[in-house]
Amino acid sequence: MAQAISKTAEKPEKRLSFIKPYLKNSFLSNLKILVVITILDLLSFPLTLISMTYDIKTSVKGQEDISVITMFFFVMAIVFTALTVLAGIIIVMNNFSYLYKKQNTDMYLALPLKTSQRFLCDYFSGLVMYLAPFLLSGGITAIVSVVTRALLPSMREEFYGLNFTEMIIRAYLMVAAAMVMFYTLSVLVSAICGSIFETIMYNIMINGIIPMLIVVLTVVIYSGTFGINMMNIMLPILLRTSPLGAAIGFCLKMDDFNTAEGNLFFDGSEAAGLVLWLLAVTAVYGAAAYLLYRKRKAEDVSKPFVYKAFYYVFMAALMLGMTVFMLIDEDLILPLVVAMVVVYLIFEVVNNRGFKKFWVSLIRCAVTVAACITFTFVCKYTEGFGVSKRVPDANDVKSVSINYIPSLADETPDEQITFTDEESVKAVIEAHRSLIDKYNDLDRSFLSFDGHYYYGTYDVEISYALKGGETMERVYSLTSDEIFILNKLVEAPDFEKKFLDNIFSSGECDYPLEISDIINSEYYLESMEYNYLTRGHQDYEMEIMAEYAKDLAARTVDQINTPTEQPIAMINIHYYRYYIYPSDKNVIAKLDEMGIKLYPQNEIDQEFLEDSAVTLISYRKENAIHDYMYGSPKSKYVSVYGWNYYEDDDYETVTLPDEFVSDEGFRELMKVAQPYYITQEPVYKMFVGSELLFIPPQYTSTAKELWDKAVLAKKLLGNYGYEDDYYEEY
Amino acid sequence: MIELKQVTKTFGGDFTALDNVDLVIPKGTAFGLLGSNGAGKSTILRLLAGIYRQEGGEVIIDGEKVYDNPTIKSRVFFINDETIQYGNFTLKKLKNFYKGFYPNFSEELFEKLRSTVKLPLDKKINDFSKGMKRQAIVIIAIACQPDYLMLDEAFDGLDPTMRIIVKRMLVDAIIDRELTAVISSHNLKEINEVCDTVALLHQGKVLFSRDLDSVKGNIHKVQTAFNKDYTQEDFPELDILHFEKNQSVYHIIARGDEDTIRAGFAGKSPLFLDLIPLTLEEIFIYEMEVLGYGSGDLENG
Repeated sequence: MAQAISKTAEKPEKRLSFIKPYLKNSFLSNLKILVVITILDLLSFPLTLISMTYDIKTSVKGQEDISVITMFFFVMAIVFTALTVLAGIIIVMNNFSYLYKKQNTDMYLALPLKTSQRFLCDYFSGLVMYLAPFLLSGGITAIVSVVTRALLPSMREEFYGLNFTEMIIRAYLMVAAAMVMFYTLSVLVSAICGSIFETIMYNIMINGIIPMLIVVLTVVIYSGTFGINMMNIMLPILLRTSPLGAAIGFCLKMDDFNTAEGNLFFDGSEAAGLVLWLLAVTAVYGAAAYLLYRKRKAEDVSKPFVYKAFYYVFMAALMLGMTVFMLIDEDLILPLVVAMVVVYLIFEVVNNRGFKKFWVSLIRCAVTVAACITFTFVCKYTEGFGVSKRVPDANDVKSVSINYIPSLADETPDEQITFTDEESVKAVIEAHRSLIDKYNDLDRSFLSFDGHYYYGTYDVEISYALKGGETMERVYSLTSDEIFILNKLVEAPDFEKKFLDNIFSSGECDYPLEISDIINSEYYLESMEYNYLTRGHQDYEMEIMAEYAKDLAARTVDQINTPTEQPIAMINIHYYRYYIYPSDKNVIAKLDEMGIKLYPQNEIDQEFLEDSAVTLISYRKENAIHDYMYGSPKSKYVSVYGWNYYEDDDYETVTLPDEFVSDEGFRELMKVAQPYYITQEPVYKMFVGSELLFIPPQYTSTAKELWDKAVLAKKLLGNYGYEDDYYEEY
Repeated sequence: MIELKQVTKTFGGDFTALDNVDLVIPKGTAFGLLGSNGAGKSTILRLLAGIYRQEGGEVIIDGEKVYDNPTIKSRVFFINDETIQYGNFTLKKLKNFYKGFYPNFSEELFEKLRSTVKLPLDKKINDFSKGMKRQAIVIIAIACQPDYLMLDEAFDGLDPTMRIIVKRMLVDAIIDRELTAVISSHNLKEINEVCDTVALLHQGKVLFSRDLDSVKGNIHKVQTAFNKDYTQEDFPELDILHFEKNQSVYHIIARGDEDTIRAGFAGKSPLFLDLIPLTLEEIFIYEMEVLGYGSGDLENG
């Protein structure tokens, strides 16, 4: 022993760095694939951009168009990039060949390297070779884009607040992060599998199984669960956990290409966040790969799976994926079980290389299939283990964010407003509980797999920040009943500012603010008029809405829900309508200052009325006009809501003859009819022009008289040119 | 010095390749590992090369544990019984590859050995014959000048001339540099010629580990004849491995030195008594036969 120690001590100066030759070997063994992916990468987007630059350079100014050749290069670039991404598997399999090739095990494991050194050398040498050509291609593309911008003025224009070069760099970095994850997952699979067949097969499958498992678990647990937005739960996990998931998530987020928010191309912080998330999750995969690599033994090579748990998890995921079909139709259970058993046993036979211990496979199959079906049923019938019925206690809520607007609209407001005061929190919780109570009262038989959101005014997302640090998010379609409750939020402290922030949070409006009267469709301020303004239209919008916010905050909840004044005009902004009442002094004064004088609503243009069809809609016991996406169950609650009128077969209409415009009752109703009115009582409604007006309950008798007269007139005069179902088209 | 202390190695949880093996291989020894197929010879070599990790016991070289120890592993070179793994290398690339890992690598020695075996430098090893592949890795191993060389089926594929050359290379290294060579081979003639110490393994256990002379001197073939008939039971004082009577001549294989064996026959007045030394191969066969690993069944069958 003494001899050995002295011998070791004699040669310190001759100690070599083992890493250099190892890396060199890795480089040499991957040289061919390196050359191929470098060529593919260089032929991809750099070439596309050069071709595009040529197209723009040679095209007529103002008619820049992309040629077929550029489109071809673009498609080619996508295909080539996909191939270079897939090449990661080959590089990993080259570098870690001793994990599945028995003949290489002795050679590489006998080398004087620590397990950690060998792993890191193999991992990073492969990764550098995998990424370098892609990043080189990215660098060239970015440089070409800089040159392009310098040469072509049209490319200098900022593209949604970003220049083209930044977008290219951002896209390359995101793909590179996904590639690192792809590569690391491949290393993880190599550490788990011991044979070439399983290594290749599961390298491909793991990239599908991770996103599939996320989607399947989300669907199984949450499908048909009221108020849970599966996409909100699924998308962040999908984006961050696998390269394929990231690609799918990226496309889903690209759904609204024009919106900067959440768009990974345009939103720098969003893209940086995604890159960091991908790298963080990759680090977890890498750590797992290393631990499994370290734990596995040299003799495990040639086993299909070194860690069989992976295989069982994979099979469970696959079986669970198949049970999703059961959610569509429970009658499918029998054929589904047969299919699951067949698929499971095929995998078992492949994995066991035959029928040895087949009875064990049968037991395993039965247990897995039964467990998956049970889990799916439990999730379905407990509706995500009761998650949908949970409403937080007001005392536990630190703050609540909701995309509320004091308007009736189809479009969901973009930004959420956060409330921290007790009354606002209680109002949201009350509205939330009301939604769930109604849902619990429903006849469930009509509920379908696709979910059952209310068709109401607009979708609202409620996000609670609980005092324990937990968050709770729900998405519902509000009916006007819930709006009625939520209108209490107008009284929240600082509402004025929150309201304005919400309106102008997403920057410039796509369609500038317009002001018109309610019935006559006459514009006080049209979007085109802005062209003649000396300042940007947003300045005017902000000034007008700031005054409107003051008036809004001055109203009581009752004034908002059941106005006694008739609005004299409406503001259209961001697809929402805000009614201006005569008592809204601030906004009226502001408009007056701008030279816009509003006239009272009751000064109805006689000519307009004569030219318009006026239809009276019957009094009915249930005012809930459209309740659910599917079916039309009788709901136990009533709602009257605004202008987004929907067809229902449980009412009658009668179109008034032209002579009725002079009718005293009609003229009286015209003075009290409201475009925005929320009540729990049944009311008459009428269409005037294209506007639906509600007749407040206290004028029901007047409306009934008019109705009876109109019905009689219809009997005597016929349909006077209008079909009864005229408005059903709306 | 190599020490295996109570080493146990199992595969798949149900096959014990080495069962509490104790073995000491002194420095500068040419150590032969003998044993039946599956006895654990290659397993020992892979444990010594730091490829396998034992489930129990310790594998120690010069006082340090081998597994995951690059310092020790840089003094050990392992040649397994295959050469397919080097196929994509040229001899030059393979040499350069190993050169990076072995601090004592001698270009001069490599060139000298290469010129002896006349191997091309820039031809892919895949294009070599089996014997050439073997020569290639052996000359690289020797040029790496490790302190410990592990050879699994060392002479497999070599023609007789090359066997002599390779053996001479090994012997030179053992003599010149005090190389410790651990050689496993089914070719016992080769082991006999190169090794000075051998260990016999069977079913994961070491039956014996001794210097070759002692092994040879401790087992003899006896040819003898008597005036009357005897059976094996009539020689209780002898450790008989094999007892066979062919007409009046007895062929007996017995353990023990010459004097002990002669003494065992003293009271039986043999008509003649010849003690013939056994070859290593014969020793292997008879030792294995005692353990029920003989060819008798096949012959009887």
